[in-house]
Amino acid sequence: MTDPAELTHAVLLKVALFIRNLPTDQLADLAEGTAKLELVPKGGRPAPRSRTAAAKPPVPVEQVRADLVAIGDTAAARQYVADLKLTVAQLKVLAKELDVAVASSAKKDEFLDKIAYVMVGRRANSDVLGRPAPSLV
Amino acid sequence: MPAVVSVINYKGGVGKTTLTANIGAELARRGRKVLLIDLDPQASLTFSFYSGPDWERQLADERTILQWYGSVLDGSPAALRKYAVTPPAVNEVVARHSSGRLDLVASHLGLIDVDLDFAANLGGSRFQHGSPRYLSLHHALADALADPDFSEYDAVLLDCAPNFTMVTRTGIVASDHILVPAKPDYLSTMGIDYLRRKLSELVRDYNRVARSNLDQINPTILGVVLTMIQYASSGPITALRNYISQPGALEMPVFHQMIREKKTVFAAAGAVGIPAVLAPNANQTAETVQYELQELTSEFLARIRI
Repeated sequence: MTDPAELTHAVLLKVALFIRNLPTDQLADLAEGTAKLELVPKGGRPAPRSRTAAAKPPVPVEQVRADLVAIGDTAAARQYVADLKLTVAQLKVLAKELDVAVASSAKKDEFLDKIAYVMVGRRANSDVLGRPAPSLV
Repeated sequence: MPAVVSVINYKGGVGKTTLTANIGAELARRGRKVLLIDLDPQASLTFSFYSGPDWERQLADERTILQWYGSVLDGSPAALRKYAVTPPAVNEVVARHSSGRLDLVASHLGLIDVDLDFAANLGGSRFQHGSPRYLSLHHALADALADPDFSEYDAVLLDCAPNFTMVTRTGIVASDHILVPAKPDYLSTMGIDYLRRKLSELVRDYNRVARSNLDQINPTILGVVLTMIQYASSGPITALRNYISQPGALEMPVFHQMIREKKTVFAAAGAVGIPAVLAPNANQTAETVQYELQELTSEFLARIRI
């Protein structure tokens, strides 16, 4: 069957059969235009984009990690992350991938502070406090 | 000779005494002979095993580490072994399980003044390295523990004060290992770094003065034990996690077993002379804490290999 008229007739029959079995409220929605029939490929709908994928930072995480380690200064590290202009959702993904624990309810500033501290600040503190004083011997 | 382990952090209130008492008690329950030495003038470890009146009546005047340090400063160190006592309540529990024993060299509130005497003997607090008594005073506790009288012990745990005064330094010089309790918070983890720095300085300066390889010291950091962990259903609460990961991220050895915060278990610990790990009639919460302390002790044993 390749004739468009015949194809149309065959499809309308299937649609009619489908509509006839719908519940009354759904039929009413279709009649009022508040619902619609949709063409969906066989095999189901394609998976929607996940929130994580949508929130993935535009910069590779490993690049961010390497840059932060190279910066070595907490304030500069915070500014570097701020300059990436990430959304809170993207910061959440970045923090998770950098293994930085931040409360899920945290605001943007808290993400910036925690990422800067864990990636740079704590090592900077450790280096300063752990450096032996000159020997008096 | 016994393995000698100093329990220390530069930050106070992180669980040093609690860990010393509980690891010591659990080792004794497993049949080891353990000596605890309280080097902290607060004497919290001492009062974990003796009530104030018992301490005053039985120990304060003649049988504490204060009198022993006095003999060291006088130039004729007494035998340390005669200062060791066997706390009754905890050893009664130990005896139900094994032939182990937990002994204690008690502290004294007056120990806080001993450091001034040490400084006077060493010619001041800053320029001690040139003093003819630098080595002998630093090594006094190590010499005392080398006495064959101590060979009956499997382990000696030193509960150090959160500072690096001379009493603490004698403990470090006598130690094979350093155990570092730490709360997972900002200031406690900074205390670890400062401790590491002071350890490096002491070892470097002492070994330069000692010169002879036989007299060199090399205490190793056994590991950081994270204490007072607060849990949510999914694990440690988020606010602690960055500090829990910190020691490992900074290349410090870390014990896998952590100890949870449980005021209902630890608040009254010591009041009856029995550490939490051996407390009888434990409820479910206390049993969880006891299990963590037992696991920690197993890890401790594996690390010091006794």
